[in-house]
Amino acid sequence: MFWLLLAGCGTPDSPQELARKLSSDAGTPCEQMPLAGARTTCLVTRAASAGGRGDSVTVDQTCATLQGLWADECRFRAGEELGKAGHTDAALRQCAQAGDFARNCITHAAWGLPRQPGLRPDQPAGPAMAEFKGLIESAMDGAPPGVAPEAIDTLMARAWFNLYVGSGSADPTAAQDAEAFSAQARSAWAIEAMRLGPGGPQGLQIARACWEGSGPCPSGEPLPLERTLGRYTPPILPPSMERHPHVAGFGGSTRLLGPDAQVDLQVALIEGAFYRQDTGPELFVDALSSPVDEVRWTACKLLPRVQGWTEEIEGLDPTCLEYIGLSRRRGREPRSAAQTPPHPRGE
Amino acid sequence: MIALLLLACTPEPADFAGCAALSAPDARTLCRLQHLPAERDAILAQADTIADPLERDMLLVELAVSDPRNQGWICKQVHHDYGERQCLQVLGRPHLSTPPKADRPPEPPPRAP
Repeated sequence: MFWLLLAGCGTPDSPQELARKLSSDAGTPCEQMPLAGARTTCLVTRAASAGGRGDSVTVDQTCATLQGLWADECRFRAGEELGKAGHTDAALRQCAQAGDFARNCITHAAWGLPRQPGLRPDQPAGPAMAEFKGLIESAMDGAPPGVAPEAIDTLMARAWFNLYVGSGSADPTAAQDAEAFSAQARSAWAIEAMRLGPGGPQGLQIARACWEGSGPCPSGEPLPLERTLGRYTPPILPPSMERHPHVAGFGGSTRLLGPDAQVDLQVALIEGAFYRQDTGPELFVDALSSPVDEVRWTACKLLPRVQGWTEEIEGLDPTCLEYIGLSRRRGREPRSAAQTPPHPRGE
Repeated sequence: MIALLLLACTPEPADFAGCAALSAPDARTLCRLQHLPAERDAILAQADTIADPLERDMLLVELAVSDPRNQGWICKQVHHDYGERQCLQVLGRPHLSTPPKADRPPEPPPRAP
């Protein structure tokens, strides 16, 4: 009320003049903006800009002046920008303070994760990956409950993605050497193996032979990270699968974890085939008859997103039908991913 | 003394329409925020009584940013460049309108080690 009265006494601006003052490019310090909403968006913009410059001090100072949801959003925006600028550690430290948005922030920061120099498919990557995991754990200190394990999963998946995808080599040495995060390593290897091969069921056979050492591994031209585009699915699960183990996948998606390394490789390869935009339905239809639940369910998840509907297929188990129903409700179109972050949970 | 001067300067408007008598656009906006009804249709109906589209948008932006989870929808009703620019930070960030964690479906599945 005091502010209202005070404002009533001042020299009145025109609405246009006030709008100009409230615009972030007018040079008005955010703190001097007379309307709280404009002040808030100005502060968030300031924090994001500071993040883009790698200036965590300004980010901290700015976000500390906000409360509640906008304080979380401020950390989220800054974390995204820090991540894009390659300041992964600082980005994750902001994400850990982003409250309800911590998971979204981590997913976006993972997208901005640069390739780590020196890591190659034909060489073990264990020490570098262990070091990166340590960085994530340290940055997640103070994160909301349950966020740190998800951050580790998401970011380790992205680190493995960055090692393999676009490398031009499906040499499985690095992935087979991985003791921790072996599922994430398999996912990344499978995407590259399927990307570089001829595609479809034949590509699947070649990739398997490569993994087993009984055939040559696909290779091709490397791609810059920003051109590693592919299909992905939203991380929405049927209710009956919510407690089934998953690992983070490409584009904020998740994939089923197989009960052992062999089954998990099959699942990873089917998901890898889906990443490739020209993979048709045949490979997924084949997998529908697999006796292995995780393989069949993965096919049920992906097939409707490749060919539309599958009403002609009979004898599908209830979980399969749940997956198919889910893809119908959510829209059948697969998402094509670029470096732009997808919408993680809640978006 | 100061309080007296202030009171003499600007009497408190009794309702939304009375806010228009205030001389400064920021004061008018703050005043209107205090007198807005709760219902969506009623909010829009009141906002549409503001003759200046820029001032109308200022009100809608303030309302949306003050509570994006419940009022973010109103950003879809802005018409002026000012409102569109400011509302990018609400509409372009759909998680801001997502229900808080307690109201959401169960947690994501367990992750592999």
